[in-house]
Amino acid sequence: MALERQTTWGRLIVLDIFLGGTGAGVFVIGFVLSALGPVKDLGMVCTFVGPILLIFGLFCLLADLLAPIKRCRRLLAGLSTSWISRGVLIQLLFVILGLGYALPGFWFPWWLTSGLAAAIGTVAFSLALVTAAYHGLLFGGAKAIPIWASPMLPMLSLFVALCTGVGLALLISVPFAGLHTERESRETFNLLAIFGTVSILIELISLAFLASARPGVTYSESLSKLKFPLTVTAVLSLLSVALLAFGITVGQAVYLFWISSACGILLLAAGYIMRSAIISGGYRYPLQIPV
Amino acid sequence: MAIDLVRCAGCQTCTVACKVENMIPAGIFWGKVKDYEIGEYPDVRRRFLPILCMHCKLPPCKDVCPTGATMQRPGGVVYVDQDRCIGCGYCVVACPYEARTIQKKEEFYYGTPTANEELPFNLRRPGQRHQVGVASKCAFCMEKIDEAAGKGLKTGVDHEATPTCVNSCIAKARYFGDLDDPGSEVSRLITERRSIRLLEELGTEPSVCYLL
Repeated sequence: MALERQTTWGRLIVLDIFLGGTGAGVFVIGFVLSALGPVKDLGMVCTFVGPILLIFGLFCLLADLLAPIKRCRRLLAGLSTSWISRGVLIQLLFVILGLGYALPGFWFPWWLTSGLAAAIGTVAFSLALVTAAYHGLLFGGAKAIPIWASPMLPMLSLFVALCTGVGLALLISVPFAGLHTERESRETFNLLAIFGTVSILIELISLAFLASARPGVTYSESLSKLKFPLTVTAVLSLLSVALLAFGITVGQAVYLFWISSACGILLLAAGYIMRSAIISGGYRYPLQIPV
Repeated sequence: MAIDLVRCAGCQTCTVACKVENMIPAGIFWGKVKDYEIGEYPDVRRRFLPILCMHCKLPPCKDVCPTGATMQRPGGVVYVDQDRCIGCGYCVVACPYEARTIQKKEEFYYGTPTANEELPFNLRRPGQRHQVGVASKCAFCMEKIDEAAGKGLKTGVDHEATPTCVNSCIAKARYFGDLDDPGSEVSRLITERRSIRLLEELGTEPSVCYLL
């Protein structure tokens, strides 16, 4: 049976969902770091970087549209049924509230401990989680593509976003190492490592469910074409877990620098490959001749 | 619409007639005939499956459209308002029947536009050309049929009130009419003969039936 792959969505959409997911993920991590971490500056930078990445992602989406941009003012017309309309609204609110939470902290040190910041931050945090899951829901609208219609995809999307968020936060933490004491660096790394390990494990479980489901021949055949990229993603994620565990046990700042860098790159690469695989795995149900 | 797969000869006359009627640009097909080889040597047969927009009762393309550019008329015809479409491609990936296309860049059959390609599409839409970067699809020759219905002609019976692919079929394999009218020829054929709809399990309720 020859499967036909969708070719309408390509690299720019992969970039859009990668940047959007990573942006949402790093905001979530930044918010958690601000609340629980030993230092606030890293969390503040992460919460600022998140919405900015998402804006870059939206630019990729706009670049993919070939119609006049002015028509985008109608984007909310399909709010009741279309996940693109809902996604635009959710992402716009996330960007506004996310930046509203992060930006004042750069000028007013008391901001992050204020009640208003906590309120705005909590709403932005919730929107970031929805944004992270949104890409899975967006694909779910295409019922003609069995892998995209999988109920596991929103969950997978959420945890891939959190994993890439941890990856980016680890990379951002590298230049901060010199600003903090060794104990602060270690505690920050441990927090990121625990959050990252849990996210990676849930991501791998979701991936296992996605891979073990057998709702039909088309689904199975689509999955067999994605074996390589999904295996690479799983291997990179497992390597990251091993590195994070090693980092927690070693705990010396000089090693943490290298482990954070390597792990950050691995997690971002795994996230990109996973998203690219999902888009390229858009095989439709074949139109078979009735007998 | 009903398409008799026993009669379809795979000649692609409907494909070409549709392109001419609607001035469809190079590389875009609103209707096409897929060609299948069935069986194994020496018992091999060729079968043909004409594909066009199924004008589903529950069109997934309409639900996913973020700008409301895809609409459905009370009679069931699904169409695209190209002036509202932003070319996001969501409807193209959501359509199970590969019935929608987005022309990414302006293309002409012979490099530069021919006199025919300079004409507005469908000729009944003065000054309007096919737009690049937006979704396009079959609308059952909606404007032509509306114009004919205005003159009192009967849909699916009179030549002018029937889609071009139906009129042009050399094997008379296509039938067009009101599926809600039990007395129409198309309803009668679907009742009397064995018929199926494509990918019915997706719950789209296509309005195009295939007679076996």
